[in-house]
Parts: sequence; C-alpha cells; structure tokens
Amino acid sequence: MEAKEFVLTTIFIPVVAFIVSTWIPGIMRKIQARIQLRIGPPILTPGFWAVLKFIYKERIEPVSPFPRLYHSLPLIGLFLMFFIILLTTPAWVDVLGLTTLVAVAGLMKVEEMLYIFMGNLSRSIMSVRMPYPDQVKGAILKGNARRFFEQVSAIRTFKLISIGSFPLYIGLFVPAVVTGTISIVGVAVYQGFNTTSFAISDIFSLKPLLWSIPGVLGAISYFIGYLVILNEYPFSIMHTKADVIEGPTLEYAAWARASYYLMREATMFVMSSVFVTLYFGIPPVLGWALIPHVLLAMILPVAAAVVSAFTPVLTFKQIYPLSLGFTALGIVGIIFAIL
Amino acid sequence: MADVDRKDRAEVEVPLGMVHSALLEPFRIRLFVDDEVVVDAEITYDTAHRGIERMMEGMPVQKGLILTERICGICSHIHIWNGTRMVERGLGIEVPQRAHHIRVIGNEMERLHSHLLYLGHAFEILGHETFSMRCFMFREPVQNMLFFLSGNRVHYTIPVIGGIRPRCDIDKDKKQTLLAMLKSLDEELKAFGNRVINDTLIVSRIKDIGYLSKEDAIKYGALGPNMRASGVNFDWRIKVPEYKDNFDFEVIVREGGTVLDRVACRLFECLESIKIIKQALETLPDEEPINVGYELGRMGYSTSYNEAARGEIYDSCSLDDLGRIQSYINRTPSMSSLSAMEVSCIGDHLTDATITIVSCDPCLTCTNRVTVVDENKDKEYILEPEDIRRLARRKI
Amino acid sequence: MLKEISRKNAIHIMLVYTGGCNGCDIEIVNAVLSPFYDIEQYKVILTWNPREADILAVTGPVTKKMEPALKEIYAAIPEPKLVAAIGSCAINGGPYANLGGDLGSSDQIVGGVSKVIPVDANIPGCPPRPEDVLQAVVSVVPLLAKKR
Repeated sequence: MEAKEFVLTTIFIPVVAFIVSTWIPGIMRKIQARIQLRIGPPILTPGFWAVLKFIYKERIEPVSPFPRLYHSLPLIGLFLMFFIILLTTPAWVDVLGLTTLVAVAGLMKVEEMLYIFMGNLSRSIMSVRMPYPDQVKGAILKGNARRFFEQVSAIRTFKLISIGSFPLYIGLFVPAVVTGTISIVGVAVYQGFNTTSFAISDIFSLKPLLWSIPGVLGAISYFIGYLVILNEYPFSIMHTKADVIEGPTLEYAAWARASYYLMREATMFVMSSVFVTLYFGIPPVLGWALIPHVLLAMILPVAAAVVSAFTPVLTFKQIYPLSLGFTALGIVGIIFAIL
Repeated sequence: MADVDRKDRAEVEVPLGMVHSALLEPFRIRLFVDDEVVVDAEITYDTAHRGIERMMEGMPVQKGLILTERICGICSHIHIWNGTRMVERGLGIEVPQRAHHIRVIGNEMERLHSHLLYLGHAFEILGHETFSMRCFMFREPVQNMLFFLSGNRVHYTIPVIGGIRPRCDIDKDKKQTLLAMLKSLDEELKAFGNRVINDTLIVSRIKDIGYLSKEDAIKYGALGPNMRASGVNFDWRIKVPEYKDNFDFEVIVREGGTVLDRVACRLFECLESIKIIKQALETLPDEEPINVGYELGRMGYSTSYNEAARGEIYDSCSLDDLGRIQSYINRTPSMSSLSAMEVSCIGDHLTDATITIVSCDPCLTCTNRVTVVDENKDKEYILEPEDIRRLARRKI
Repeated sequence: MLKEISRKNAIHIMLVYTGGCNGCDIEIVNAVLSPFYDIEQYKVILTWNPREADILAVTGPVTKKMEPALKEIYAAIPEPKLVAAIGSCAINGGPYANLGGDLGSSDQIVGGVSKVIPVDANIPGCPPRPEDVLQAVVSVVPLLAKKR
C-alpha cells in the first residue's frame, strides 16, 4: 500500500501540477487585462498554446559560451519545482529525510541561482551584439568593457537573492516556529490534517494557521517573497522592459523557451501550493482532496496579478526598504508565535 | 552632477538600443555605469536620418510643405503649420482669423495626444501597465477628434498657404460634436491626474531622479515642458500672435526639475490645451477659412518660431522666383532636450536613467537634420552627433 | 493539426522601427495594443525579443544605419517567421526612396523593407488605420500556421 501510494503520488502530483500551472499565466493576464479595461487574451493562450507553439519551432543554437548548459537550465528548474511539490506530499515523508522546510528553502535558493547562470551564459543580439558603429566614435570614457543586458540581470538577481528573498524564508519558517516542527507534514498535522484518511468534508474541521496573528503576518511576508522569487511586478527589475528587456532569458528560443515558460508556470503553482500546505494545512494528496488544494493555490497568483497591475517596477532604492520591512513583519509574526 | 572623480570610476558600459523596448525609436544610448549607477551617458541619434531637407531643395513650396509633415508622425501638424506660417510671414500673405483658430485647435489637439502618448509611454517604462493603458484609452478619443476634424489620424494636413484646407473647416455640427467630446475628456483627465500625483509607488519612483537644475536647463538647452519643469518660464505661445491675441491660458512652470515635474507639467498642460480648444471653438469667427488671393514669388530669408508639444520649433527657408524652396532648415526641440537629459541622468540607477531619458519626450525622427551652411567656405555639411555634443556640452 | 492550432492560438509579434516618421509605429504600439483596439484579444502578444517572435513588423524606410541591425534581428528569429511591412515607407520607401529628377536615389535610405529581408505581407497606408493593421494580422495567421 505504502509503495503503491508513493509511486502514484510521484507520478500524478507533478502531472497535475503541470496541467494546472499552464492555466495560471492566462488567468493572471486576463485579470490584468480586465483591470486595464480590455478583453485580453484567451486564458489558455499565454500558458499553454504558446508553449506548444514554441515546441514546434525551429531549433536554434543559442549564442552562448555553453549552449547545452544554457538550454538545460530551465529543465533543471522545472524538475526542481516538481521535486519541491513532491517533498510536501505526505507520501514522501517516510521515504526521504528531505521533507522539511529547510530542504524546500534550499531548493528555492537553487531555483533563484539558476537565473544567475542563465544571465551569465546568454549573449543576445539585443544588447552588445547589435551592429552599430558607435565605439569608433568614442566617448570621454574610452576602452571600457561592455556588459550585456543579461549580465546586468545576473547582478540584479544576485542582489535580489541576498536581500529580496528574506521575506520568503521568514514566511516559510513562521509555521515552523508556531508548530515547533520543521517537517512539512508535521505543520499540516498540527493544523488538523489526518495523514491516514483525508476527505473533502474534513477541510472544514481544519484549523488553518492563516487565521492566527503570526499566520497572517507570515502569510503577508510569504506573499512578498512569492512576488520576489517569481520576479513578478513590482519586483521584476531583473527583467524589466525599461532597460534589460527580458534579462537572462533573451536567448531562449523554440523548445528551450517552451521549457522556460513551463518552469516559470511551475514556479507559480508550486510556490503557491507550498503556501496552501503550510498555511491552510492541506498538503497535495491524491484523491478528491487535491481539488481544494489546487483551488486554494490559485489565491496567490490572482493576488499577484492584482498587485502587479497597480504597481510600477521598483528599483533597489525601494526594494531594500520594502523587503526589510516585510521581513520585520515576519519577525514580528515569529515573536507572536513564541509568545 | 558630473564630477570628474566619479567618471574615472566607470566600470563598464551598457549599450542600449537601437531596437529596444524602452526607446521604441531607433537611437543608441551608451550608459557608463559604476555597479549600476550611471556615471556618464552618451546618446547617439542618427539612425532615423532620412535627408528630408535635402529632398525639399528645389521643390515647389506647396509640395514641400506637405513633406514637412512627414518629418514626424506625432507632431505632424506643428511642422506644416510652422512651415506655412514662415512662408506667410515672408510673403506677407493675409490669413483669415478663422483659419488661425482652426490651426490652433489642430495644434492643441496634437499637444493633447502627444502628451498623453508621452504619459502612456512613461508609465510603460515605469512598468505600470494599467496607467499606461489608461493613458492610451484617453488618447483614443483625441485621435478620433482629429480624425473627425481632418480625416486622418496622424497626418492631418490642416494648413495650406493662405488658410486651411476646406475639408478641415469646422461647421456647426462639427463644433457641437467636438465640444461634447472635449467635455468628458476634461473631467476624466483631471481625475486621472489626481490619481497619478497621489500614487505613492509611482511618485517614489519618479520623485527625486533625473534632476535638471535651472542653470543646466538653460546651459544645455532643454526646451518646452522640460525647461518649464526646471523653472524657466518661457513658452512661445505667449509670443506667437495667434495665441497671444486670442486666447487666455496659463503657462505651467514647476520648480522641481525632476522626472515627476516633467510628468506633472505635461499633465497640467493637457488641461490648458483643452481650455484653449474650448475657447477657440466658442469664439470661432464666421468667415471664409482661406485666402486664395496671393502670389508666390521670390522670398528672402524668412523664419518662424512656434511652440510644439515638445518645445520650440524653428523653420526657415527662402524661395526663388518660381516659388521653389531653397535651403530649408527645420530645428526641432528633441535634440537639445536630449543633450540636457544626457547630463540629468547621471547619478541615477540604470533603470531610472532610461525613464529620465524618455521623460524629455524624445522624438528621434524629428531630430538629426541639422545642416550647417558655412557662408565663407561655401559648403554645407551635416552636423554629426559628436559635433553636436562638442558644441552643446563639452565646449561650453 | 496540433501544430496549426497552437500557432493560431499564440502569436508573438515584434516591432522594429527602421527610421520611419513615427506615424505607423505609434499607430501600432499605442493604438492597436491600446484597450480600444486591443490586439491581445486576437491572441497576438507583443514581444521585444527576436528569439520569441513569430511575426516581425517593420515600419519606416530602412535607413543605411539600420540595415545590418534589421538583418541580424531577422536572422535571430527561429522559423517559421513572417515579415510584415507596415506603411508606405516600409513597402517601397515612400517619398524617401527615390528623390526623383537630378537628385537620383537617396544617400540615406536603402529603400523598402523587401530590399533587405523577404516580406510576406504589405499593409499600405500613410499610416494604415488600426483596423487595417488588425485585419492584416488576422489574415496573415493562416500563412504562419501552414508553414512547415
């Protein structure tokens, strides 16, 4: 029974995550479009059909020092995300000792690190390689090295990792402090989740962490961290249209771009799914109980869409205080939890 | 400001353009950055050079003036109006007052749509897609008004020598419709402006960046709203008789000199434009809109200044015996505004530098048509960007 | 089958301004993409990355400075790709292509876009109305779907 459940979970949870995540960009885009008083694209267009279209495009060798490594990075990200969602399932709890918040936090760090690698491996036509004879004309400052947009983005990603992802980690560890365990399923069990049998009707008997003061504060800082790790507006300085166009992903074409899209969509879903596990106490389990999990996991993307429709891109001048402020909020939550 | 010590610390150069999401038009920006702070900037703009003044050489003046409109697709009316005005001044042609009114209406509508376009573009670069879409939503009725007035959305071709084209004449029905269209726009724009000025995040992005002091604005020749946002109180509309004698409006001057002031200045100017259009429509004299009783002939060197949406515009040319254009010169405001922006973006973050450069509302297709005619050496040459820079910035 | 459906359902369009007068450019970026016309509802998404694009929309006569850049950007787009020349200047150079008379051809302008890269669709007008652009984009989609 155990082995069967483990295998089924390992196969089906990523498949469900994969299918659901293709809807998320479309939903976000639709919400933003409606806020902007227009109709907007159909829901499946940005997430699903675009991916399929890119798979059918001609394969192109990217301009990069390590083309194969560059192309494999989004796939690594995609599998990392599926690994994270599997770590939060109760079926995996006995199998590996990895099913803790620390492991999830570490894998998210790796996910962020991928953007640095991407940025350093890409050499797009849109920046330095644009043919224009301006070096011969000369400026006052002669002989400076030229930096690609992607490298600028890599530097920004590094800054974002060091400062911007504090709120996410605080948001991850508030439940641990409240419940006294770093095991993810342990957090869910604390909120009334039953590992042996769980039906939809049991949801109303749960006592979600979100309905407590540390829970609310932790959830707010988790949401900010979610925006940062997604590089969604307002924290999209890594790939803002104002200067670096698309940043690290400029060279992805055809199937590599499709895999990048999938990675991003998976990030959107999985991060939100982790939030539901931690703050609502509903981990992804096979069966009907997956439906409320998936529905609740839409909360964060929808909130992100609304927030991003009303905010400009923030520069580091605003990101540092904002990030530190929300970290402080999370710490207040932890203090409440200890009290 | 640009102090020498900082310049030595420039680590790398980040080139932007020619095809770029923030610039739209083809031009090249080289930003010299220390970490991500801009220590020096260089803007090169010669990619859109099409040699329009050369083409006009020897053209019949009526034909050439239509070509002036193709200099720019945003501020097309002011080019043809200023060219026409120059010829009318040079030859002493009487223009009916009704034609003046309709030309002013065209120019103010153009200012409206240009400023709204600018705001939309600025918000797009700030990353605020909703406000940018809102601006484009406001702009669409203005475009409809222009279409309704003249029959084209971009190249309206309202003025001809001696008056305006009969198809652009405003009859009673047209007047009522235009007034009705304006009324709702006025209120909506006011509400929107309030929202922008009170949006904390937007203001925090644009508040203290791109500072251009009054002295620098004069020194580097920022023009139009960029100049007025730095506290220089000058507007060609208070000197041009078409405006001065007939309409009552305020010149918006702000003291700050930052991007916020440039944005706010344009927002308020939109409201002033609506005010002028309303006045012009209400006081439209009842007469023939065109005076056809003129003769073209030799015209000496004639000039005309006017206030375009982006600032001062200058046209000059002379005509030969058959009324053909000789040495047409058109100077547009973007060029000197851009050189001012080269200075004002120093010291800001890389992302702020692009919004600073865009905040001067560059119109690159207007720019780079400078021809210097050296009378003594009897030759003409196109001023290269480095010459412009040398003249405008380093040597002074 | 799936290939055609997916291509019809997601189209990325990239714009390159090659030195036009801004008329066509503004009409496309700020009218066709504005809420009033909203090209996104026809599944057309604006991008600024040639690696992502399907349709390259070129406006304006190609100036000599822009020619190499345009070629490189065209080469960067993976197949299948279409090029749309928008506006009279992009189709044949407009008034700038041939100065006529004793002036001969222009020193600054290469000519229409078709002299530099192969063009699949021409949208005439000075500038074309937003409705025309919408109609053209929608009618060009089957061409894209049928490609290899």
